[in-house]
Amino acid sequence: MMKRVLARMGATMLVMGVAISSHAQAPAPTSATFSIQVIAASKGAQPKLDPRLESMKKHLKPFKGQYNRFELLTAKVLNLKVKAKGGVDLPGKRRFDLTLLGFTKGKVQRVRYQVEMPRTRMKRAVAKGGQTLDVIRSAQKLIIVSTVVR
Amino acid sequence: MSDHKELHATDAPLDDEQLMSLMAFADGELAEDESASADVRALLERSADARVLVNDLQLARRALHEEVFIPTSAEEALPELDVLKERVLADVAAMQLMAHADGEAIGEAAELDGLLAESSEASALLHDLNLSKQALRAEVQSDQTEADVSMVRGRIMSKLPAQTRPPVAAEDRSEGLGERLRALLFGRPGLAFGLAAAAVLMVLALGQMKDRAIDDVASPEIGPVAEKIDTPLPDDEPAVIIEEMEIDSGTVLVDNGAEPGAATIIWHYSDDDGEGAG
Repeated sequence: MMKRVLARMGATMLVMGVAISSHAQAPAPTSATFSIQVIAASKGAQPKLDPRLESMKKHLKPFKGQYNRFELLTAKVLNLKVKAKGGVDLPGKRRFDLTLLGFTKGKVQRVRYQVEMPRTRMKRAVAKGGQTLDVIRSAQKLIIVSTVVR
Repeated sequence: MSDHKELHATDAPLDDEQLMSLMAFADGELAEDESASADVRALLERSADARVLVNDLQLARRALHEEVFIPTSAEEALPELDVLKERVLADVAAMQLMAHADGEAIGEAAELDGLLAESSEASALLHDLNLSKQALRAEVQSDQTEADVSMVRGRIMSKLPAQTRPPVAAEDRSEGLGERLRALLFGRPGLAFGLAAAAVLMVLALGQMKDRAIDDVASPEIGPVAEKIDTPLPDDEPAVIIEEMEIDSGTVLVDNGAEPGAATIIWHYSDDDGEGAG
């Protein structure tokens, strides 16, 4: 009798094993991918939107009051492991660097990373697909750094 | 207990070699070995245990290939375990053990007590079940607690001046549900077969997960900005949380955007910007 019970329990444990392993693996990533775009916004006689920014139109809306020309300067995808650092150059010999700190657990898993910019360091926790726009002034232009966690 | 023995008297216990053959059969490894396949089919015809076992193995195999529901969190796994319990454990004694682990009483209490008293394996099994459930519940609890703390912490930190902020907490928790449950479940001699089978499938599942993870990170493409949130967030969950800020000079303003799915805009005003960036 117990043999029968144990054989069946074996199958249950086996299915549980699948559930456990899937649970154990899902929340334990070791790297994250960031999509970074550096955009220059300026004022000009004729409005202009870089065609590569077409899908970002709605996110540029808040800037359209003062700026009417938007140009993509740099596009870069960073795949960082935990504690690794990467970034992009900004106009004016400035840098925008990211360091992957880790991941949060819970209802929504977030990627934790540090942003280093001139005079500012920030720690952020961003869900997959979440987007930030860091905006700094450079001469008569606005430099907008878009970061999307993928 | 004696009633059970009489009820299943026609079922000969499966030996290790038969168990291995059944596992190979369920995995499709005997497809080209007609002789071995015939032996297994004969065994399946005469043994109900063998049929149940192959059915269960194939169920788990299907689960691995995502033809059936695979829980991705302890919260999802708890109700799924209940479903599996009903589907897989039709055996009276096993049902009693499971029910007992749930705090229910099914069947004759004396019979269950007898089973537990007679068999240390049964007692160990019940103990494992209780611990597994506790571990799963604890995991659900800790997930919820951590989410709340993270949210609150992020909101508070973004409002504090840099000098007064506490140091950032340590990185990820190192021990997850997998480690805890594995620690709980392994080391039970009476469950050697089940655990060995589970271990084999865990390795398969881990490999599958690893392959998926590699696929995910191996195809970053540079192109137009694709700014969609892959998985819709719950209403009360912001996509972006500013946990901490250190500003040497100037001012930082954070605008979360009024529309759902809007990017979070972080304005960095420098002291020498004059009128400001915005």
